[in-house]
Amino acid sequence: MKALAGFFLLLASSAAAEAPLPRKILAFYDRSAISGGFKDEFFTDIHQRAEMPLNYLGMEVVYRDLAEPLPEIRELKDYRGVLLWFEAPKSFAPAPFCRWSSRALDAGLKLVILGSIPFAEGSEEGETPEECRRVLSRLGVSFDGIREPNPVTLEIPAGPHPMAEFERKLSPEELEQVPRIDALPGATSYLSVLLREPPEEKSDPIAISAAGGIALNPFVMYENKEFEPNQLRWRLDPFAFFEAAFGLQGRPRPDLTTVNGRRLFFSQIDGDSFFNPSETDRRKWSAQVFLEEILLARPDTPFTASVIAGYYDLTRFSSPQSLALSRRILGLPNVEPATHGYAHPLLWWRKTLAVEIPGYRFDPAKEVEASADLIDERLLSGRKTGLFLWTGDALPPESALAAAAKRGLRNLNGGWTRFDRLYDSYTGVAPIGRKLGGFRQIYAPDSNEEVYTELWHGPFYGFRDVVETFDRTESPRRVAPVDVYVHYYSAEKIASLIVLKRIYDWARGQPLFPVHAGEYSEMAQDFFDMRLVPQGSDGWRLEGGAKLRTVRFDGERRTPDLSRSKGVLGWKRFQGSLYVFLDESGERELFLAARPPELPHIVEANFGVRAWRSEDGAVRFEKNGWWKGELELGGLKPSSRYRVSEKGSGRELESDREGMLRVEFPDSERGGPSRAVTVEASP
Amino acid sequence: MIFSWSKLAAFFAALIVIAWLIYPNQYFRGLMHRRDSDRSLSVKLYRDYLSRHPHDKSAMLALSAAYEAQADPEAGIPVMEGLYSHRKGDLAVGREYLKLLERSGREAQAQDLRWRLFEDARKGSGTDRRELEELLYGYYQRAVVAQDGVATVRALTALSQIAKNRQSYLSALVRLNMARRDFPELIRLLQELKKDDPSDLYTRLSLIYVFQIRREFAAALREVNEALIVHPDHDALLGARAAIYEAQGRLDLALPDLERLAARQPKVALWRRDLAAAWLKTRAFGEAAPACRALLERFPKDDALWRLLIYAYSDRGRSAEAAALLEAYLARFPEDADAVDLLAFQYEMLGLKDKELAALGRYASAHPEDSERRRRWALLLLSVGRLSETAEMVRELLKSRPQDKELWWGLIYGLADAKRYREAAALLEEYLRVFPGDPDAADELIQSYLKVGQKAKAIALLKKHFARPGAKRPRRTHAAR
Repeated sequence: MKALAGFFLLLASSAAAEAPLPRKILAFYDRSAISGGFKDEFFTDIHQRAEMPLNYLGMEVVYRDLAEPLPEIRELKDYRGVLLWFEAPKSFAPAPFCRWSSRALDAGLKLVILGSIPFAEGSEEGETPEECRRVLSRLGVSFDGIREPNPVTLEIPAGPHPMAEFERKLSPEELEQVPRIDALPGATSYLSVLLREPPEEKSDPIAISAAGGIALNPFVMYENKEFEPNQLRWRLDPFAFFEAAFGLQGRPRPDLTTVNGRRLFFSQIDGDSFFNPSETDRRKWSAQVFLEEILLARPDTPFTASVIAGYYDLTRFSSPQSLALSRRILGLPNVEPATHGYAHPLLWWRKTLAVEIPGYRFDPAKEVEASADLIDERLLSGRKTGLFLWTGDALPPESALAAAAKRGLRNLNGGWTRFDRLYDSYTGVAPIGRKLGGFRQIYAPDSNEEVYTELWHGPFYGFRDVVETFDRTESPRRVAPVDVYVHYYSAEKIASLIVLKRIYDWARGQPLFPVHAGEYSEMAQDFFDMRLVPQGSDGWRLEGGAKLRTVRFDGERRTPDLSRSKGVLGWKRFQGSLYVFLDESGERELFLAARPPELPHIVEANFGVRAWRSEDGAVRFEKNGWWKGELELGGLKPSSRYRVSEKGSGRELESDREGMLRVEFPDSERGGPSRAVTVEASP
Repeated sequence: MIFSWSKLAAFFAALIVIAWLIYPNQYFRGLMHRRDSDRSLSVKLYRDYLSRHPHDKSAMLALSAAYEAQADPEAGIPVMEGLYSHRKGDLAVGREYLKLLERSGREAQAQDLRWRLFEDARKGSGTDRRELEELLYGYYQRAVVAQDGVATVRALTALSQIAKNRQSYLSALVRLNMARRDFPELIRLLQELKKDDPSDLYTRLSLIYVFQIRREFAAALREVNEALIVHPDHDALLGARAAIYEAQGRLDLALPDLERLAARQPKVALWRRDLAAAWLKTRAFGEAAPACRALLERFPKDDALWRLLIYAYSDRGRSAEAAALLEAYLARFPEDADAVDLLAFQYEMLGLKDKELAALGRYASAHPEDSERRRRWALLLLSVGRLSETAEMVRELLKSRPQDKELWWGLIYGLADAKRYREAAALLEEYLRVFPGDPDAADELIQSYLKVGQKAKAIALLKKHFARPGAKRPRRTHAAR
């Protein structure tokens, strides 16, 4: 009997040890508060502002409408915490919610509140239920309503903590309201505001404790609606705050921006205005000019090109010339074919269409599945359409996502990321995607030229500003890949064509990792599938998510121990983070150590690496990339001669004093079959 | 010959003149080619035309547009600058130039131009005030977004002079100067606002606060009393007056206002707290304490009020009453660790060790994460010889605070006092690994070895200790004993 009990105990303890790190955050929102006819999580503050930083920290946000029953705590084992960022609706019952929150805290979940406290807003004596006071107390704060201080009486004695001045300096004249909140012993206050106006008191509007964290208005965001476009800034540093409040320090974070140390780059073309005449040569369609000036001129750059399938059911667009041009574009070796719908839905929820096709009314199956079938049949010989590029408002319903999944189509577009001088805030950077039912829409990491050209009314060179977004999403933290996302009408105007060429030239000059858009979409899906199972205090087994090739550690001093790790190709330190590159196997184990043995590893490569083998100081692998291959290897013998062989030819190179070897290959595979490479010490 | 040579010559001359007259000039030819390919022809034609007609508005605008069509808006900037310099104060031209700068991403230059345009246009006669205000408002909003204090003040000052709704801009200016704490300017603005609208309470209160902050209490009181004539008996003014008296330490004068405020706004906890504090400071304790207790009975959830009264008893050395109040308070607010400390202190003062232990124990058991209180509880338990309940807890605590000597010695002496010398010796060995060479520990360990009959170990340790250069004779003087 004792032995049996011991066995079960062992089983239970090993199961606990093998549990993956919880990566989900449960976000409550009030669907009824979303204005307009289309009620979607897309419009919530959490999705628009908080989800991107949480994705950056490796987390997934799962939404729950307040109108739904509260979930059973035992169902939340994959969850790290609960995020509240909403104004309480009139129907909101605080006491049951607080009792539930208390149970969530008991179960070890963190509670994070942003903006206002939905169960204590404006409370005065006796208005906040006792259960809710207790929840706040466990969170390390006591709350007693709001004050409207005179700015002359407002002081920040210790000066603001960097966490409170992320994108905007605190100016007393902008603080029209201040919450009366006190950090209790055990909680850390990140900002103390002194209200000198009688009766004098102190407020701690940003506080973090072992149970979670709280950051209240107006110390979360700055918003100026007088300005066109509306200006939003984070006052609170969402990255640092979420990391500390949800206790995410030291965790590996699945990273969607980087492969082999290089930032991802891809480019997709929406099928709109394929047949518009181009002002560069009025006898040609925009797509023809796009083909000649961009696609053929850059045969070593991967593109994803889509067409609107319904065009080919219209007499005026189904001429032999139009079919020939479409086939030529989609058949190019550097082009990944994609569909941009059948009749190009504009507002998916309203079922409005951009292309009028006689007898056709909106049908998600026709838009998604049938459009891909039609392209395969009429325009592709042998190849298959593998990607759907969302059209119009890019807010498809669940039925459309289901149709894409059923047809085996990956998907992309939406999100509308913009982070530049006009939208100078991380609030403009979209999260990875949006989940509807069991399906996930993947957003484009950047906005297209329509957004930069006042909906294509000009200035037609406006898209040149996208480079600002590329720069700001790269540094000081890399939050998004480079995505040059355009329509065929970029080849319609001389100015737009000029800037598009400049943007591609800019990209070519950056240390990027080119891929097709569909590959990014797959990686994005795998971001959510990867499970991180701790292996002792210094290791993790990375299960699933084989397409995702990077995990990142922030502020980590240790390095990967390749002698103990499995499926790890290399690593690179960049902007204070450690990027660790993974192979294609999907069975990876990663261990870190302060001083692991020096073994050959990739520091940077702009091509894909398969079948990596490292034995006796020699390295063998298969490479596949687009641009002229660039490779940096580390962990080699310092100042030693190495022979690098590819395709039967070889040359000798010398490693530097740090044991690093830089290799520039004469050409690339341009997406063709992989080539075997050997790097070995010269005899 | 039908026509004479002279007629023919005249005809052709006329033809040439007509052709010369109707042949389009370079500007019109530029317009005709304005949609051609890369626009280089229209650019050339406009430039040729402008070399002869240097300030032609239409040609300059067309040239700038042609540059934009070439995706080179920067080339149009000098053109538009030239045009605007020639037509200073021309709002239409200025706006076109402004749009070009905005489209080109030259925000700093655009902001400068907005101000230039405003000043130039203001000097000209007949400029519409609304247009000026709109222009200035754009400048102001950009200054606010960029947190450019100088430009914001400049914009608000100008807006408060020209705008129809000048009051709102003046108020914004006041708010800004408040934040900047530019008091002389602030007082000037507030006086101006007060003159504009003597009934505005916000203005008057702001003025009072400014005087208060400058500790100009007489001026502040003067303002309050003046404002009370306009707004008799207003709560905010009474509160301000009470605060002025409180700041001056004249609580007796503050009391009537506080009593009125607490009665009128019973839900505002701050008034009643200030009132209780004022009672306790101005009245005899025998009179003030029951009044405070009565207030507490009405507002039992007011934790600050509890604390006020508790400290009042504690400060007067009335530990029994303080302890009773603390017990009642902790029943309501069990999470307040500071209150637990204070309660333990009161029981210590009263010599009630068992109650002191119970108070600390209750809290420490419920809060295993609070190592500070658990430590104090453990040391207290050890001091009364309750070793069996404590040993495990102390060992657990030592894991997280290995440098805590008092904790080590508390347990070491506890074990020794309980004659558990073998465990004491083992603990001392551990201690010496953390604090190598500690003479007290060496001495104590030697004694423990001897007590359990491990003479060899005792001798070895003794030798080792005396072999160390400069070692003193072991002594047993640890403070924890």
